[in-house]
Amino acid sequence: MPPLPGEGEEKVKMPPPASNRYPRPAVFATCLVDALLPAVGRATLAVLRARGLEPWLPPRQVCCGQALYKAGHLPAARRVARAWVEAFRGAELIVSPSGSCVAHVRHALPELLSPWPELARRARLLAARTWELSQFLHRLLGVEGLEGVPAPAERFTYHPSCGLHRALGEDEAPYRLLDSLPGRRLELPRAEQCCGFGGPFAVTHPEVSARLLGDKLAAARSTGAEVLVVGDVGCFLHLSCGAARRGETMRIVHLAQALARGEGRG
Amino acid sequence: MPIEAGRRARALAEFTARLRALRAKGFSDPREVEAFRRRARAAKLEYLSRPGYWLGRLAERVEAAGGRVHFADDAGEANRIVLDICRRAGAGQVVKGKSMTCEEMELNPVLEAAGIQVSETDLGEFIVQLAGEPPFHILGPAMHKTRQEIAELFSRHFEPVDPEPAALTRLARKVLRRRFLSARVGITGVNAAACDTGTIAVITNEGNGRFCSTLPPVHIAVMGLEKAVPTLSDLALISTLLPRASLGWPLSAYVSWISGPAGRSAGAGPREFHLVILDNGRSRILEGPYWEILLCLRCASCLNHCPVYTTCGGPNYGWVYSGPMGAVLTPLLRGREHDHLAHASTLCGRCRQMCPMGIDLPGMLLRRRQEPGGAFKYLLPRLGAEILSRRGLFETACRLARPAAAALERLPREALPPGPWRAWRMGRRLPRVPRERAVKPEGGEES
Repeated sequence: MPPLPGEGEEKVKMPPPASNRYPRPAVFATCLVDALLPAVGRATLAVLRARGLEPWLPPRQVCCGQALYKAGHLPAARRVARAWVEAFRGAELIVSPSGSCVAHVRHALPELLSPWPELARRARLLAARTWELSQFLHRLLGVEGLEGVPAPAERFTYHPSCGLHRALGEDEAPYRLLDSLPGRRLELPRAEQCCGFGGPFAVTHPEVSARLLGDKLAAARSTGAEVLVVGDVGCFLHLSCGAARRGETMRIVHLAQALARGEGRG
Repeated sequence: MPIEAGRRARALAEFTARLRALRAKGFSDPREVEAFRRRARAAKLEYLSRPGYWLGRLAERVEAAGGRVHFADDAGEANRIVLDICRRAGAGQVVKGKSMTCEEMELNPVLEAAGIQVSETDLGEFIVQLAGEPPFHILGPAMHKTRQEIAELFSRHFEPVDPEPAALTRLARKVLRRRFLSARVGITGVNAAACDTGTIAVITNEGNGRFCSTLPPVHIAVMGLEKAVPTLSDLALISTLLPRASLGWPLSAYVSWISGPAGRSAGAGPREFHLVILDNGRSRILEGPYWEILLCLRCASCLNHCPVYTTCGGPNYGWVYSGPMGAVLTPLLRGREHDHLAHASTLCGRCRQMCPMGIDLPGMLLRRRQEPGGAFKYLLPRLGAEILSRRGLFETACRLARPAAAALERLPREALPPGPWRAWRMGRRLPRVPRERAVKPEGGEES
């Protein structure tokens, strides 16, 4: 990937490029992974390493501000957006295990930073090179199948999150990758239905959110799957907390964990 | 927002699932949907770009055909106009087709207060009117009622009847037929109106709208300002797009296009035709950032596909309009005390995907959330933003959250004061906060 115009002078904190033809992917872990889900972060790094890449975690990275934005707090969302763009300054490629966070970076950040033209310009560049993990693998690297990765379970199902499948318009990448694994992916009934997370919605409408959460778990269970794979960190955490409360025997696994092998599955 | 429970919840789930299945079967090819969407939007946008001009033409054409057109600034004025016409016609009884605009105006109580008996004639509206309830869903006003409940209701008001759908419908038909024949005035809504010919479309599945508009000597059609389209071919487009969006059908069972009263040579039909055009804040909406809601056809696609609507049901939205379109429209028509509806959405985007007009409903809900609020709305998020945008503060907050979350999880759920946090915890276990952050200060490589 050749540098985009005007990008050369910004490579201030970029580690030296690796030998492979792709720039080193900077992993945008997301605040939820950073604070609560280190295993998803390890899995993301492992999946990228398995492709011969040398991912790195920009050490000053912060949240993208999606939750503040969706709650309607524009000045607060702008504040976080500025910090995010600063933290990823110079990144040539950004990969994240969360569709909704990538959608926020791609669709909202440049607009949010429009009061600062220079920041907005950088946000546009960063937005264009920010990818959700499965989209990056399938659409950018052309990965069709993952060899040597064990099945998440003999029978598993996948919840297509609204962030990845509606906001980013993806309809193929995670399916293609999951279907290359051994084990059987079972179709989730009413897959397009939201799991009820919705960021601030889970706090403003906890009962409705919990009901939708229960519906999603019930739909997954009805397939007979032992594992429910989810590809967005918000939905993953939401469903995991709900499953734990309900004593659910079906396991909830993040997409990055399902696609990782060895120690990355942890 | 409260959740529907028990049998009503099951009825809601089944009814909306049936409508979703119909829609998926009959109108789901994205290219077809997109083609309709583009043409319908173009027609509506042309109309909304100069509503004054087009409404002038509509009025001129309707009057040329022998009808009368009345413009009403608000619900009160529209109600007075309808009441005046009824009085002049000497109506002791009026029959009414299903009309969301009349629900919005709250017309029935006004007519009833003037001693006029109002009969809803859409079977679902007929049932909820007898029960004294508001409509539950804009397409299925009585979808929450069992046949036993309906039989009991009918038996109390008319004559004993078995809880069999055929018997119930037969009885309703018998009662309604008498009313259709004796009413002096019939009132219907308007699904769309063509300005170049002065033609209105009344689309129903039961034929009751056609009875209301043909049997009584006076027909009053009530439409929201936004329902007009420039030409007759646009009317054809909307007449087929609406049933496609609602039910996946290329046409509804009854599509009436009406241009003025019955001609002099006609042996039957209304001698008077009145078109009441209601503004009620619509021209104000057109000037503001939420103008796109004026493209809404009231097809109910956004309701049927909304995870929140299908869980909570219509009445919990607090007024006649519900679901995502209601969450946008109600604060605009009724005031800021309904702003909280903007939060009754996960912003999952399904409504925008299913909307036959491609209205950006989640975008408008998000915009509503951004409207200025009090200090609480300002200070707390700013504090959150500082924590989230400074690495050091974020790490400190995580360190503090670790024991706090563990302590909170040990606390019995019932010990929390009632409110959102307790409700949150009833449905979930708090996550464990690990000692280490995923992002390490030394950068790059994970240990």
